[in-house]
Amino acid sequence: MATQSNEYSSLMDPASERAKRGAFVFFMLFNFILFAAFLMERWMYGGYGHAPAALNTGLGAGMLVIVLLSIVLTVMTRKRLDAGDDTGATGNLALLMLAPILLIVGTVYSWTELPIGSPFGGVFDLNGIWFVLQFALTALAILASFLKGKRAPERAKRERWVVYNVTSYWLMLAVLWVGFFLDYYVA
Amino acid sequence: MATAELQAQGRGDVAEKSSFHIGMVFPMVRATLWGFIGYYAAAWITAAIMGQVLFDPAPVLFGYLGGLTGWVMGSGIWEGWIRRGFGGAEAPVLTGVDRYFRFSPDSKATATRYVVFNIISFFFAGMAAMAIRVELLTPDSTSWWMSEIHYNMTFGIHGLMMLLSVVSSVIVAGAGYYLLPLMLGVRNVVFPKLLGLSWWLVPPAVVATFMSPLVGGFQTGWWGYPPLAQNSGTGIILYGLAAATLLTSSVLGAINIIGTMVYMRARGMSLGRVPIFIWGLCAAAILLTIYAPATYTGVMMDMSDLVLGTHFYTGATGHPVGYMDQFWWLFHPEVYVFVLPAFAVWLEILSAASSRPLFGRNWAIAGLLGVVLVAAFVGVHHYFTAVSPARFPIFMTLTETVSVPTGFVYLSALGTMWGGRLRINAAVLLVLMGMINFLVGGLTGIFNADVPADLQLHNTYWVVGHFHYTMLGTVIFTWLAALYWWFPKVTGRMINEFWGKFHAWWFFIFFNCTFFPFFIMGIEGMNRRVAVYMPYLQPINDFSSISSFLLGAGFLIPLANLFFSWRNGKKAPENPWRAKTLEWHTASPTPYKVFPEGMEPVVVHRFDDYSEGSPDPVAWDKTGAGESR
Amino acid sequence: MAAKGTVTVLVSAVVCAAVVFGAVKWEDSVALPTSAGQMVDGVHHFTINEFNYRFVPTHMVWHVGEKVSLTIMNRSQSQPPIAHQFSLGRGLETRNNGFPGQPLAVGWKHDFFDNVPVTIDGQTSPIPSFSVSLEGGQKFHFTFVVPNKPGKWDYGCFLQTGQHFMNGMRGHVTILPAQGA
Repeated sequence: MATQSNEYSSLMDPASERAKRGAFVFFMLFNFILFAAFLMERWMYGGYGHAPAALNTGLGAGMLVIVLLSIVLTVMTRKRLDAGDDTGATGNLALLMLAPILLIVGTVYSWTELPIGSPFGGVFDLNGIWFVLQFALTALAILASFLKGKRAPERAKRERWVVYNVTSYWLMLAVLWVGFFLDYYVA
Repeated sequence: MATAELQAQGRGDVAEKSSFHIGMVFPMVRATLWGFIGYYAAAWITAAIMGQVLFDPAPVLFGYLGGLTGWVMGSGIWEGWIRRGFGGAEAPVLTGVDRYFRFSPDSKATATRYVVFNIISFFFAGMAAMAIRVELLTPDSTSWWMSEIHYNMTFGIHGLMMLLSVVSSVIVAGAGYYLLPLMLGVRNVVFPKLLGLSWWLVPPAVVATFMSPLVGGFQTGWWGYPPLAQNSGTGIILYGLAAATLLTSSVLGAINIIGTMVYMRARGMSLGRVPIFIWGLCAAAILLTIYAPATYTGVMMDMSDLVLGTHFYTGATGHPVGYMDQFWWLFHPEVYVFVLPAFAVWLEILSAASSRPLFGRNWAIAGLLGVVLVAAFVGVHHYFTAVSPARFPIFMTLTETVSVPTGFVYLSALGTMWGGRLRINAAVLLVLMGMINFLVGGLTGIFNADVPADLQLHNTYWVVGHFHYTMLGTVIFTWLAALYWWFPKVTGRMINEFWGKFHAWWFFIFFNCTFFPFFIMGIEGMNRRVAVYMPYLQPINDFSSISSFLLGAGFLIPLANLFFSWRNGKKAPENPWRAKTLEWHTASPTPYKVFPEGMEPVVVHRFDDYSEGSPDPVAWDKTGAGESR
Repeated sequence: MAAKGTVTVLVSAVVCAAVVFGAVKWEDSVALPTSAGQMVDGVHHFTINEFNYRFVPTHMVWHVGEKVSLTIMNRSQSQPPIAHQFSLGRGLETRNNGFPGQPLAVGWKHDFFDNVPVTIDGQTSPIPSFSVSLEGGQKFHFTFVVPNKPGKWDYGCFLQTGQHFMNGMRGHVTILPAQGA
């Protein structure tokens, strides 16, 4: 049975780090537009009024703090990666994974506040479901990068574009969540 | 180093031939079984918890998600991708026949799998079309054949499958994923595993759609418009999820297409030298990336109306027309996803077959990208009859704009042939026929875009005729042309030219006999999507139906031709069409390692220069030599 | 390696068969009412579920003189759910809608419950052209003694100009002579 290496930068996975990081931007663009559509649908389907009073602004503000902290942490992680400190960056990932998990808990909790049949509640909850899905996938991706850094540091060093892409994706989600907060809680 | 010399080199440790044995198919069998386990287990658990039955919306939704997960996990994605992603053991990829039956990061295997599955999907969706034509033999809904409700399910399945699992991927995936790295001079795409995943998303969606009548089917056609969607059977859940899954699969490919084209071209391959087919793929990929999201949100909101109890499109506060906006936001541009790569195939084949440079190459590229630019504006014509008359002229103008960039491409094809000495083989013949069909499809489109005509013609068979000319008449003709043209590349053998040409004429004649009457029926007032029609329309319907049976039966010819040519066709010469693009500079059939280790192609001249004594566009150099960036 | 693959496939096949069989059996016997009904204290209880666009069960057997209790449940899957009807009779009445050979189903020529006393909420009286129409999620219960009208009787839903019926929302009851007679 003829086999071939499945590793990155093996002969049949020839993309450079620049290509992997650059092409990932198109993937992020797709998801960014998807969320942007949802943020607009708050106005199209949720009505033009303010957010209902039943919305728990305290919970939202708490989640906003987590998001902002995670942005700081992500930027620090990227700085360490740029400096070549892979071990330090991997350590940051363990902490960073907390952010999506806490946000999942907060989002799921917030579903009980508004009736899903109401126009605002419907689009709010559906947006939350999509965020939870993406948070969960990102948490898994961060976990994967963390475990790879611990278990196979040599390989992780060769595949640094993975960590770059995962943190980029998290940054995008965090920025979008800030947009979500402004769109749904503030406006 | 010359190309011929390089092709003779061995490929190191990779065995080029490994004989097939039944154990190689096990991953696919395992995936199928796990898919069914996933579906029934998830549906059963959901139904038991919610006090529902298996064909209620929520069990079907979770069942589908479970089935999709089971199928994908069974494909070998765990060993091939996930385990190593988490830092676990590295599993080598298989390079022999095995890779066709399991998750594989090899773009050639992925594309081959696409071709085979497209043929299967085309067969079953075509059988649905035959069932529709049998029903239309008589003006009433014949009870011996199918009821109206089954008729509605049938045309819905036929439409969704033909669009999203056949024409959307036959050229983009089947030809595109194969040729993308080869034409750009690299060994694989930018995200090989993501591309590998994209195929594995297709079969569950197709199986789910074909089996949707088992849970009640859907009556909406491929549009899925609410509020009919909410009242027409639980199959609508499978419709929505299948559409979303197939779109996801397309988008994964689209990201690879743009990423590979932008970041991974061979040295010396400036954008001005990128083959026109890659430009066509790129145009399609841009459309998918930027327009698919709005349609995703529409599908999700429709699902949540059915399962979670929201009221986006239903109830007193719902906006059913909002779904139309979200639906056509992608699904109008989607028709350009189908047709732009087909245009690009024309130009690629015609240039090589007439040994002439592409006429107005930059205008052709501008045409492809121009269609991308106006694509979403054109979609507004789907609401002509739903808007105020004040908007008619705006919509009409926007819609007719699309004929300008399309015209660039068409004129480029004509100019390339003009004064050339076209070598006509089966592939070129199919391209020419496709161009004629597209001319008819395009000209009848003008009547659809024209408000006074459209108010009369909308929702009639005129429209059905129009889009069958552009989809079947253009894309499927071009698909067959592409299959014949690149068949020697993929299999190392030639197809049987006689049967290829014979079928081309068969296809062309009976295609026109089947679908040209649609225009007459439309003018005569035959509604689309209705199982019954007035008796005066019966003779023309019978003519169309009988032609369609001959048309459908004729597809057995290329099927047999491809199969027998693959098994015992004439051995192909290295470059049978004397084309100059990069894919013909590698051995045929393409080896697992497209070119030997340590060597890279360098593009030194444009590919479409066929003049006497023009230099070979490709030189070969050691890997890493001359790298400056 | 090949042996391991074979074992995986075989085990998966067995599990697959078990799950599919189990789910379908569970649906037939637990989640859906059965065609046979249940005999409790000499009363024959039947439950009829109404889905879009079908009845479960589609066939019942009654005996003349037997006391039958019917529970009709509308379990429409649409959102919002739609109304369904239970109408028992024989001889389909149709109306022409303009398309030749495409008559609409309107109702039954002979209603089964003509002159049959029906007990609803403890009140017993014959109700002329008795049929049950329910909104989504509603449930309706009534009892009666099967009259001496043996033979095959059909039930169907004639809402939305008979389209439910024409789409297959129908079933039949076989009425046999009294047991032991």
